[in-house]
Formats: sequence, C-alpha cells, structure tokens
Amino acid sequence: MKFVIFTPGLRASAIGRMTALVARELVDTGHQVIIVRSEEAPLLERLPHDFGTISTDWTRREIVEEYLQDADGVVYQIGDNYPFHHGCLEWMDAYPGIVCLHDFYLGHLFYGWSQGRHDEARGILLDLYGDGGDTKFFNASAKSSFIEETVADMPLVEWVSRKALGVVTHSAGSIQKILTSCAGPVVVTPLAYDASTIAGRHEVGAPRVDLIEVLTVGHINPNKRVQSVIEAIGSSKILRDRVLYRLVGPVEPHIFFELSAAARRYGVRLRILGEVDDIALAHAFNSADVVCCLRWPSLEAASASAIEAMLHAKAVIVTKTGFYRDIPTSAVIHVDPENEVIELRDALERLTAEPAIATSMGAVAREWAKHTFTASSYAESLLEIATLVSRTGPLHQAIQAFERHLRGWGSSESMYALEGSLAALAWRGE
Amino acid sequence: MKIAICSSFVPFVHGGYRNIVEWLAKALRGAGHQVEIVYLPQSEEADQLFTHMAAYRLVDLDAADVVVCFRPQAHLVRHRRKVVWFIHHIRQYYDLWDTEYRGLPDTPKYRGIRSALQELDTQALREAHTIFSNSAVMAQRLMTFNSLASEVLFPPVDEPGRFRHGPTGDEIVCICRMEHHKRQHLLVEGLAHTTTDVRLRLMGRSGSSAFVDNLRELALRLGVDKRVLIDDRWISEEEKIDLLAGCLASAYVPFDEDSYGYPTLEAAHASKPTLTTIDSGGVTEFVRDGIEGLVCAPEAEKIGAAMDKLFLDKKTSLSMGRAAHDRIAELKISWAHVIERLLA
Amino acid sequence: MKVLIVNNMAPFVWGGAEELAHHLARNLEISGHEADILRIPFQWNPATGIPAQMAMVRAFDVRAADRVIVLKFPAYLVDHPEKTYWLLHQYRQAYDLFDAGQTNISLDEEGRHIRSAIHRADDESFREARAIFTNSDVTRDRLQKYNGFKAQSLPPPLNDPELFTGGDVGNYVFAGGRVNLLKRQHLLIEAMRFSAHGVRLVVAGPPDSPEDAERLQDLVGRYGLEDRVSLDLRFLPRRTYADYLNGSAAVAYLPFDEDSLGYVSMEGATAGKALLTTDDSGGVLGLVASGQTGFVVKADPRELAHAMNSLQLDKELARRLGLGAKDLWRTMNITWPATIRSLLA
Repeated sequence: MKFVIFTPGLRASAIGRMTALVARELVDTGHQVIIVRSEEAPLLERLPHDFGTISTDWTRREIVEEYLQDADGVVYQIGDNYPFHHGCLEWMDAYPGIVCLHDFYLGHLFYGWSQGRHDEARGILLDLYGDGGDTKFFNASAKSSFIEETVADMPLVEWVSRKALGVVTHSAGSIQKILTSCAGPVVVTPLAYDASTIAGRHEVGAPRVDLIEVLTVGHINPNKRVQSVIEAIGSSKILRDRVLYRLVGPVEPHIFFELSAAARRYGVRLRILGEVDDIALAHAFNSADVVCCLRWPSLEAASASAIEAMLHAKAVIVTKTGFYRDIPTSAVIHVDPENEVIELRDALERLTAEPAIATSMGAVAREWAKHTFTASSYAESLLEIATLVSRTGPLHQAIQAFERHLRGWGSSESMYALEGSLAALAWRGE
Repeated sequence: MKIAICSSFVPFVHGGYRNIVEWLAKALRGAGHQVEIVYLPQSEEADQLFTHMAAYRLVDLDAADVVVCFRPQAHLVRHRRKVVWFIHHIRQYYDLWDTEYRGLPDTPKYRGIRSALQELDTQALREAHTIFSNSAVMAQRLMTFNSLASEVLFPPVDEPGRFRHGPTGDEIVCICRMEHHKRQHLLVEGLAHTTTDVRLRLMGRSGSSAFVDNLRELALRLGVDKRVLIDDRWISEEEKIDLLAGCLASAYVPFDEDSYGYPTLEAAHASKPTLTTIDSGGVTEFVRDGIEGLVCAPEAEKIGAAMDKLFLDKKTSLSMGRAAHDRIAELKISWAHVIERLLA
Repeated sequence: MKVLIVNNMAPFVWGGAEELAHHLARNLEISGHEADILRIPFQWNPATGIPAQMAMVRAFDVRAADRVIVLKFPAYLVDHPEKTYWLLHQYRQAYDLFDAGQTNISLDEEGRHIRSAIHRADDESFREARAIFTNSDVTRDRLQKYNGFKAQSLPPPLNDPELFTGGDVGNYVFAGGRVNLLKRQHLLIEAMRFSAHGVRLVVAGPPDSPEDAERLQDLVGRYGLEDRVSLDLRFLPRRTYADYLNGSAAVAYLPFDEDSLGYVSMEGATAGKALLTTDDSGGVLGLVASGQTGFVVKADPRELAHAMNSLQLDKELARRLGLGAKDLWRTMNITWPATIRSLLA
C-alpha cells in the first residue's frame, strides 16, 4: 500500500518518534510511505526524526497534492498541540483520511486553529455543543482552568473524528465520543514504542536500599498530580526520610515556585530538573526506583512516559483511568483518583519497605510492554484500517459532501432529516 | 395504478438504452396506468459514483404506487414497492473487472470502491419487492456477484405487430450499431469463405468512422465488396421492417452480449432465422443451433459455411424463421406478460 | 451548443412549467442546438426534508452540458459553471408566502434553520449564475426584494401564435383558460346580471375540479342567464380554443394577482382582441392599459358589466383597443427566437 502520513517531524515530538518507528516498519514490510511534516513553518527548521523514507512538509502544496493523488491511504497524526499539527488541519478537509488520535482532549488544538477564523470556529462549537457552546469554550480558554472546564463536555475530539474516514486510537477508555462522531471504522491499538533502545533495570545493578528515587516525567501540568505525590510523601515519616522526588520535563515558573514551596512545607526532598535531552532522560529513568505516572483528568490516548517507564522495568504507579486502566495490575500499581493521596502513600510505603516487589513488578511490566507496544502491531492495525477505509471511505466522503452543503447553508438542525434519508447508506466498520 | 419508471441517463445521448423505458411506459399507459418517467443523471466516475448513489437515495417517489427501476444507479431509489428490472451492473466493477475491459487500475483504492459498490448494490437490491433480469446471463451475474435470485423477464420490442414476413431473399442483413464489439468484421470475413451468391448487408449508425472504414477496406481486400453493402446511417423503423421482411436471414454476432438483443427479436417477429456465434452471450438464449437459426464458432470459415447453408437450403431457413417466431411466445416475450409480472 | 434544461418534477403532475420546458427544448432544437431536459423530483412536505433534497440536486453531475437553463427551486441549485436562470419559482413558502403566513415551514428554531438554508443556498446559486431572467415582473421584483438580485423579466412566448389570427369583432366576450376560483370566471357571470341585453359571454376551458364547474353552472341557472352565457367546460383542442378566441369581441381574463402576463391575455393580444381585466390581476396589467388595449376595472360585477357593455356595443371601440393590444404585444417582441437569443447570450 502507498501511505501518505502527516505527522510532526521534529525530534521534540513523541508522536513524530512513534510515527518514524511505524513508518520504518511499513517500509520494511514492503509498503510505501511518504511523510508530510505538519509542524508550523518555523518549527520545520528543526531537525527531524529519522523516518527512513521520503519526506516533505505540508506547505509544499503541489508536491503534497501529487503524493496524495497517488495514495492508497492518507494518515493524520493528531495530538493536542496546534503548532505541531497545524499542517494536518490544513489538508484534512480536502483529503480526508485516517486519524491517529493521540489525545482525548483537543481543546488547545482547536483553540490554536480558531485564531483568525472565529466565525467558523463558533459555528463548529454551536453545532457540536449547542447554544452557548461557543461562549463557554472561549471564556474558559482565557483561564488557567481551561482544561478542567472543558474536558468533560467539550473535548473537541468530535470535531476531528467527524472529518476522519477512520480513527486509530490507543486505549478504549474514552472512545464513545469518537464512535458517535466518526462514520467510518474506529480501531484501538497500542502505541508503538521502540523497546530495543531501552535497557531494563536488571542490567544496571541491584536496587538501592538507602534512598528511594521517585520520578515523574513530562510537561509538569496540574494534571500530572505532582502536588499529590508531594503530599503523599510529606504525610509519611518513612517516606519523608527515604524518598528523593525528581521531576523531569518543561515546567512554567509559577508552577516551579508552587511546587518548591509545597515541598518545603511538607519537608519533601524535591529536585526539579526541567527539560532535558534524550540521554539525560534515559539516565533519569535508569536511576529511578519508582515512576509516578499519574493523570487527572486523563487527556491522552496513551502515555509515552508510562510505556517508557515500564520498558525500563520500573515500578510504575498510575491513575486508575483511561489508558492506564488497561495495564494489567500485575505490571503497575493503580491508584483511585478519588482517594489519591492515601493510596499513593500506601503504595510508596510498600515499595520502600519491600524493594523486591518493585523489582518483580518492573520485570512483569517490561515484558508486557515489550510485546504490547510494538511497531509491527501498530503497522498491522494501520493496514487493516486502511483496507477498511478504502471500502467505507468513498461512501463516507459522499455523505460528507452532502453534510458540507448543509453546514454551508447553516442548516444543522435539518441534518436529522438527511441522516434519516441516508440511513441505509451509513456503514460502520467492525 | 401510478407507476414511476426510474432509470439513469446521459444527457444528450439518445441511444437504445432509453428504448426499454419509453416502450414500457407506452405499454403501461396502453394498459390504463398513469406513468411518470424519472431519468436522473448517471456517473460512473470513481469520485462521483457514491455521491450519485447517495443522491438517488434522496429521490422521493412516494407519490407512485410502484417504482420500476432500470439502469444503475436507479435501483438505489427507496420505495415501499420497488420493482427492479435489472439490465446491467456498472460492469467494470463486476464482470469486466477481471478482463482487459476493466479500464481501472487494480489498486487498493479501486478494490475498495469495488467492494463498497457491490455491497451497496446488494443492499439496495435486497430492498426490492421483486427483482427481474433481462436475460439468463444477467440472472447468473446477479447470483454470482450479489447472491440474489431473479426472475428472467425478456424485454419485448415496441409494437411487435409492425413486423411482417415476406418472401425469402438472397441477402443476410445485420441491422445494429456498427461497433467493434458487434463484430461486423466477422461477417465480412465469413462472406469471403462462402461459395454461393449469398449477399450481406450491414446497416446501422456508428460511433467510430474508423471501424466502418476498416470494414470497407476489409471487404475490398477480401474481394467481397460487390456482395456486401455497408450503410452506416440511422435506419428508420419502416426501412428496417421492409428489410427484415424480404431478407434471407438476420445475422447478429456481438461478443458476450448481456441479452438476446433486439436484432434477434426483430428478425423473429419477421419470422426470419438468426445467424449467431457461440460466444455471443444472451443471443444463444433465444437462438438454438438448427432450430431458430444457426449458431457457429466465431470463425470466418464456420460463418461462411453457415451463410451458404442458409442460402442453399431456403426451405430450412424458412422453417427456422417460423420456429424463431414461435420462440417468442415460448419465452413469453410480450408486453402483456411483462406488465403482468412487473405488477404481480 | 448542448443545452440542458433543469426543472423540478412533481411526479404524475404535468403543469405549465413542464410545458414551458418542453417548448423551450423544442425551440432550442429549432435554433440549431442540442437540448435535453432533466426533471428532478421534489417533495416539499414535510419541510424538514427540503435541505436534503437541495443537497441532492447539488450532487448530480450535469457537466455533459455546455449550458444549463434552470427554472424552479430546488432544481435551479444544480451545480454548473454556465448556468442561466429563467426563474419561474423560488420556494415562495420561505419568502412572500411565509410573510403572508401561508407556509409549511414551522415557526420554531428548526423552521428558522430551514428558511435560512433556503435563503443561503438561493443566494449562493444566484451569485454563481451567468445571467438571471424571470418569467414575469412579479418574480423579478420578488427576487430583488428578498434576495437583492437584479434580473431581467423575460415572459414565456406563445407556443402556437400562428393559431391566433384574429378576425372580425364578434358578439361575445370570451373567457378562456383553466377554470377555478382564483381565475374568477364567476365574477364575469355575476357581471352578466348587470350587463346590457345584447351582451354575451362564453366561458371555455378545463375546470380544476367538479366544484369549479358546478359553481359556474349554478350561477348561470340562478340568474337565468342560459341564453346569454355559454359554458364549454372541458379540455379544448387548441383549434377549438383558437376559434372561440378569434371570433370574440374581446377577451376577459381576471386571475387574482397572477405572476405573469398570462397566456390568455397574450393570445388575445396576438389575435388583436381588446382585453378586459381587473386592477388586482397582477402581471396581466402589463398588457392591459385602460382605454388603449382594453379596460382595467375594479373586481366588481357592476364595473365589469359596464366594461363588457362598452366592448360589445361599440364595435369600433373594441376594434381600436384590439389593435392597440396587438401593437403593444408586437413591440414587446416576445417570441421564441428572441427568447432563445436572450437566454443563450
């Protein structure tokens, strides 16, 4: 098959890294892949991942068009980051394709896209969320509680799913909205990860008994629950004495100060390392004993840092939600978000008291992750959905053409009549 | 009864494909029904195929008591009493897919379109109150590709009473469009192998002047130009009736035709036998070798021999003509039967 | 040139628009073009189904045509780069009839969406047209008022003008065409009560329903007008119809608020007959100038009676007005060749 895949190409993009892995796998198994980098123009200057195949970028209209004309499958990698995925949105309407959805919340993506096309954006919000939807969204967008106010009722995944001819996502947790918005097939497949670059803990020596290192990785937002980890450690004398808590990843100044102040108040040893390169990140994983990979609310379809932690054979503590819920309980420790601090404290105390638990859990996690998050199964899923879409897509596009007219005329209410009339043509993949 | 006849059309193209619709309308009106003909545009282009199919789904013919559907994508129309008289698929995605006539690339994209089309066609056909096919060949294709059974309902010609039988002449006539797949060249080549004074007359409009030029050139090269008349023009109904009345036999040798073809039927109405070939598809559903005419291999010598046989044994030719006429009733090819079955 | 005429179809109903499309095609062919007609079924009830049918029209591929001439909503939304309107009908229930409270579109939110979809699709389609002609001034003015598009009025010509040769001023007023309440033949019969003794009336044409025929027959009986009013209520052969018209003293045609000039009045003018109408007859007033081509009076039996008296008792006056009507009609130059030239310009 000939695939054209739109994806962020720059190395800072984890989605780009995964796509490179999958692209290489597809090429190795005899398929053709063309990569179209989707990041905003200034970011196109940055060094890309090694995709192992021909690549171009979304701004080169004629070349991209030529590739698209010839494609059997068009794939858009979508995450909640407008500068990274800008180009996907520019092409998706004219050439609808398969969307690989990496986040279950696209508020930031939509907000970024809405700049300069306010009326159109308002129309979409009204259409998706009814009267007042536009005002509610834009009012929330100005606040620090943007995500909290919109994640449940207006996650915007419907917006992209509706354009998609099919959706690939990475956990089954929140796919109801995708299923109801995308008229084509929807498949869930584990994120691909390159296990070969990561050596498990058993290769770096025995666990330490003195100081326990706890690690959290990623963009340090409130939804990473760092504050709760600090409270959990702070609430236990043993943990206060024995735990060093490290944060790796970009952090905004006000959050830096808030967390530092909290750590001082609770008497917790906290090290904030900020953004680091791949080597330093690998080192941070290696030296950690426990990785806290918490999310609340959970926005991603899958968590790269949790997968990475498992591949490093670490004891991983996750929130009992979304993607994390699907991880076997023998491989990680789940904490209930409603009883977060207490369950965290109990888990950390147990791991501190019996390091062997951490070791055996890490080994199980590594084995499971190694066989689950593979490029080959991801590539197979893409091939499978592309074949389905080649069947459902033409009809789907025909119906979309009707819907476009009706939306263009502003007749969203009358869509019901159309849906009724076209019901016999609606088709959903298995 | 209020009957809507729905078919697709190509604006400005008034070929034979509109005949069955117009004739059925006339026959139904004659039987006292109110008839509305609904022609909607057709598109077989990949990027429009499904948009058109969706559009047909939105056509509201609720005012009709019965809707009779013909060409694709007319069978997509929704109606509580939809009767399909199936005359062909969009063939490049069906029986022509595995042939040189596919004209589409064999890529995942087109394979996807093909399978979506077959699936939708099947769904839409399943909604029908009854499905008829215009030949056994079509019935077989509906079974093969859509797993659907259909009743064969042969299309009659318009006002068959117009045709008459006259004295047997020396000329074999072939009155149909002059196109490559109608294979008039086989007849010219066959004529070169005859040993009698049998004559050939090829008549009909052509979309390709090159094909007609080739025919003339071929006749000249084979030295039969004096015994074959090639007349590429529109033939009026009156002229056709006269020609059939006075001919020796009719020849109709298309490649793998979907149905028996109007030329076969018209000859039979004039009580004339038809010369055809074993690979002519639906024609052999009507013509059996030695009974309603002659059926031979599509080879020049065999065709030549058959022409001589028709010429030399006029008595047998005459009786085969009579048998062809009887065959019409035997196969129930009549408007009365058509109307009775369609409205059953 | 390959010209496709795109019209609506209400299955099993054949009316004026179908007739017009047919004659347009015939005359295009006479002018040396290839013509074909696409009739797209339209079901306007329930109104919620209208937007989907608008989208359906947009989906049909008519690129085989060099030009399309479109007549009615929603068929006129068809997608073609060389589209010329000869506008007969917008969806009036979304425009003037909506304002008049005569609509099948609900007044709620859903109805508002449907109307706005119709307005937006109309505007979009009018904008992309090569040219817009309307069948009458009324249609033109309505388009200007509701959609803000300027158009030229191009009334449909007569299809068989050769039948209307005229003749001497006869001894009856002729009222032809379809018979129904809106065409108000009953007003003429009522007027006959007040008309002078020598005045006669002939009403001839197909009644829309049996009640329409009975209404006229009852009036004639009730007022005892059998000897002066003759009713020939049926579908007339064109020849018979033309004979009636050619032999009359004047032609009366009083539809209520008609959009167009009206075939009856056009045929009357072609035959050089004086025309009688009422001041509320809409488009017909385009042909009737009181005192020049006929009489325009109030829709009142006494006034009508007065005009009928004048037209029948003063034959010289009837002849003069008839000639005036004929002259006016001629200067309008409403013929098929001229119409085709305009439409394809």
